[in-house]
Amino acid sequence: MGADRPTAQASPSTPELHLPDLPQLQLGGSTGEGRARRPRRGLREWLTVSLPLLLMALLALGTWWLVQVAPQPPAPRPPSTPGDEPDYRMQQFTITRFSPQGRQILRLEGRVLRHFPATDRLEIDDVRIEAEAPDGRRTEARARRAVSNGDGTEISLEGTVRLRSAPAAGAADAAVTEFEGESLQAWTRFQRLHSDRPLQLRHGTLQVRAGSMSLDQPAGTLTLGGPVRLTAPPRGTAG
Amino acid sequence: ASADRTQPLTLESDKPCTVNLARQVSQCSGNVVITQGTLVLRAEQIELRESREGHPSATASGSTAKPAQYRQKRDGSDETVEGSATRIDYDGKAGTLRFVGQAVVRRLRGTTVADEITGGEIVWDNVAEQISVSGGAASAGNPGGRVRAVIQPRATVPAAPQVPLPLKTGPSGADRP
Repeated sequence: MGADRPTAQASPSTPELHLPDLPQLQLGGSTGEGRARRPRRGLREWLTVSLPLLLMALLALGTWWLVQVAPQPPAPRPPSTPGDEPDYRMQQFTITRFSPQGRQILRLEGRVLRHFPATDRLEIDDVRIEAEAPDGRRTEARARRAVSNGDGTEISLEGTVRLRSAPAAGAADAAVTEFEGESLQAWTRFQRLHSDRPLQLRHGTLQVRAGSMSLDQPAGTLTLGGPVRLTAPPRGTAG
Repeated sequence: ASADRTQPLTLESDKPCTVNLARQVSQCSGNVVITQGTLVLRAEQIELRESREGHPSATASGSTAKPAQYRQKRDGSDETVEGSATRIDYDGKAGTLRFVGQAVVRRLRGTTVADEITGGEIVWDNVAEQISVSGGAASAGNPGGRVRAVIQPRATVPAAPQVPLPLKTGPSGADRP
């Protein structure tokens, strides 16, 4: 993807990098699109729809935001900087991206972004991401730090990690899905998510607390480390 | 109480739970407790499923040394039904509990045991408030393989409405479907 250098327009307050438009990326999960389903609450709904959807949204975010967003150095320069020295950094930045119809579909804010050439690693302090999927699902993620490898296939969010994913207005299931924890790692190529610290997951009124979590999407298994506390609302109540 | 099924269901486990996303089955092991209203189900291992319509059902498995335990209040009285067995199947839709293997079910008034039934397999229908028991194979706890029921005589001054368990003995456990 020989993306030309992103055009940087330094506005007085925060420098916003407006990128040339890129091919539409499917951010939300594919389940349940278009099929009107009777909204149901409970464990089944969470297991089959919301949890994978939230996690897929994060995986998709991960794949895109780092690969396309990070400004690539113009030419491969010899690694003049020692291994642990960043070769470029961005301060107080906001990166936004728009759909062909002009809708803002991604907003990435951070206090500092650093790129380390030796390991091709990216770090962003106080990261905040807002993204809208083609189906209108809005996902928000924030953390004190995000770290990713060069191609965005391995991402970790550390420190006060908050994720919130809400469907578009009028969606069959209007419940909001939330993740709250201290760490969350994503391997986008293997569609795996892991958190080795205590966490909370909510979907409408369904709540899960666990000591750790590991989702293997292709294998379709989710492991919740003890102590686990799961509360499923009574059947058929409003979320 | 039959109203329990309108209450939130809580599952707690101190060991990991694995959830099979395709089959929508969660398995937790290591001191697992399910509560729903006055229902309490406790066991070494519990498998929790949910039907398409959202009815929870569970299989609580223990061992002869540490059987699975059940407790739930009865409607309209201060009585509680308790039970234990090596395996308890809870059907959230029908509201029934099947105790299999050294099954014991007791009706308590406060802490005093009013009735006690033992057998190979006991089914307690919490909605219809009906119990059926079958002898099942002879076992250590039940050498004759027979059903044993101890029904307390009615207390002279019943403190609360006395409703003994309506007992229906079924065929021996072996030929039940």
